[in-house]
Order: sequence, then C-alpha cells, then structure tokens
Amino acid sequence: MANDRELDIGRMWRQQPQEKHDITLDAIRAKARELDAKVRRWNVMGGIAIAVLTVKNVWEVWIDTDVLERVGDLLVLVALLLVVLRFRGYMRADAVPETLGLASCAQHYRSRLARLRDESRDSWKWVLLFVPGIGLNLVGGMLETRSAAQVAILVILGVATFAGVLWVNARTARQLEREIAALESE
Amino acid sequence: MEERYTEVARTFGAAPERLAGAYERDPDARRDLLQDIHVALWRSLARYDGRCSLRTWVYRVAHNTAISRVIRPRANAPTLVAMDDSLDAVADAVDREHGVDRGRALDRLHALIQRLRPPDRQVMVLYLEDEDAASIAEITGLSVSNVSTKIHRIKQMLIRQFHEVSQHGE
Repeated sequence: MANDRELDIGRMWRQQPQEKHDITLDAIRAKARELDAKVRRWNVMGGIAIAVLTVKNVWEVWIDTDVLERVGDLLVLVALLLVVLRFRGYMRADAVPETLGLASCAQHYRSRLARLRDESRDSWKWVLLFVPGIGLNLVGGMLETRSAAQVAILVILGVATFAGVLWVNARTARQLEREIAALESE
Repeated sequence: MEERYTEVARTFGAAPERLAGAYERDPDARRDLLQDIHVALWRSLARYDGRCSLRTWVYRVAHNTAISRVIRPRANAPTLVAMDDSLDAVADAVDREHGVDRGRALDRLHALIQRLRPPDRQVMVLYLEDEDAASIAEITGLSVSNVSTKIHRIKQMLIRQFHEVSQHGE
C-alpha cells in the first residue's frame, strides 16, 4: 500500500502537465548568441566606463591646482586600474556552462556559496582601494569651502556608512559560511 | 555535438521542464531557466568525455544551471529549510488543502520542493524522477547512505502528506 502511494506520487510528478515550449536547435543557437552578445555588450560598456573615468581622472590630475586634490585624483586612478585587473581575474574564475557537468551538484553549490561569501567578505577590499584617493580629494576640496568641524562630521558620516556596509556584508558572509559548513557535514 | 544534444532532448523529454519547475514558481522565470538549461546542455556536451554516464551529466548540468540562477537572495524568496527534521513541518506549512485533487497536490508538492535547501531539493526531485540512490549520489555528490536516509524521509513524508492523492487515484 505504501509503495503504491509512493508510485502514485512519483507518477503524478512525472506525468504533470507541461507547457508547450518550442525549444528547437535553432532557438538554442539563437539564445546562445544572445547570451554571448549580452556579455560582449557588458564588456564594451564596462570598457567605455573605465576609459571615461580614466580620462576624467587624468584630466583632473592635470588641471587641479590643489596638491591634495591632485594626489587624490592620482590615487583614484591607480585604484580604478587595480580594480579592473582584480575584476578580470575574478570573472575568469567563474564557472562556464561548458564545465557544469564536471562538478557534482554539491561541489557546484559549495563553489557558488563560497564565491558569494567571498564577495560579501571581501567587498571592503574593493571599496578600500578608493578611500585614500576620494578621501584626499574631498578633504582637499572641502577645506577650501567648509570649516574643520563640518569636514570632521562629513568624514565621520563617511566612515559610519562604510562600517555599516561592512557589517551587513560580514553578516551575509557568516550566513553563507554556516550553509557551507552544513553542506560539508553532509 | 548537435546529434548528441538531439538524442539527450529526446531521451530526457520533459524532465528538464519539471526540474525548472522545482526551482522557479513564476512561469516566465521558469521558461527562462528552461532555456538556460537547454543552452548549457547544448554547450556542455562538447566537453562530455564519458567520465560519468550521460544521465549523470545531464542532471548535473541542469541542476547546476538552476542553482547558479537561483542562489542569489531574492526579496520574495521563502526561508529555505533543511530536510532533516522538518520535512513534515514544511509540508504542513504549505497551505494544506482538504479533499486534495491532483492539480492542487502538484502545486503543494512544488511549493514544498521550492522551500527545501538546494541539496535536499535535488535529492527529492531526482527521487521523484525515479532515479535510484546510487544514481542520485553520483549526480549530487552526496554519499549513498546519506541519499538513502534522505529518500527514506521523503517517502515517509510523501505518504503522510499526500495520501489523499493516492486514495483519489485508486
């Protein structure tokens, strides 16, 4: 009797009504081309954005008269290039569809969780690169127009925001770490 | 590669669609996921070297594609739970209907599956696809004994929670 029930539920699952999807080889090729084009578009847009930011910062280093602001612009430029290099390495390490059958579901799930955990845990490292440059730039600009007390308040607000984001990301990383530990204990 | 893909599509029929339904409730998202699964299968078959059975390869690609897509937290996503001790509790929480018909039972089954943690969800879907414990272990990477334990719990829960369906079907 119990086996009959199991069979019935299994049959119900396997015989569930399906929507009519027309997934032909041509449709798959078109979708694959569409995905590739999307990636290329993102790469081009990213490249343009980086080029614009680079030109803008080089221009600002050139025209700024305040030493603090010029050093700040230069540091932002260096940070930008470091982030681009790091991001390229990070994206190359991502799983591609061709290799999805090589890993078991548990291995793949674990690697995705680890990737998300690392994103959350290390996000501050990406932001931190820009802190000296932007900080110097802002302080240099503000010292000309604002009082020292106003500058101090703005710096404190900036640090508090940074700490808040850090805390949220650290909490997410801990949750993901617990899920990874649970997976490893299975 | 294309011949092999055609063979896979013919052999596995609607299994990828059922699998997509285990991960995405929304019909549009489900359709997108199904397309992603087929594209991943088509691309991956060039790398298939016979190290595992084609069946294992296909299910791995399909589940791993789905996981990559749904793993990021979503605002409206339910809290996922482990199968271990709470399978019945989850099933109870999934809007139990009186006088269950097959359509409603299927909705409930989908809702239940979508509440499970991915490793448990994968075992349950593969069990419902009539895969045995050894195959499920190879696909998921869990040990055979672990899979057997999970299957035992699934069977008990299905019998308790969905027996009305069986009675209607008899």
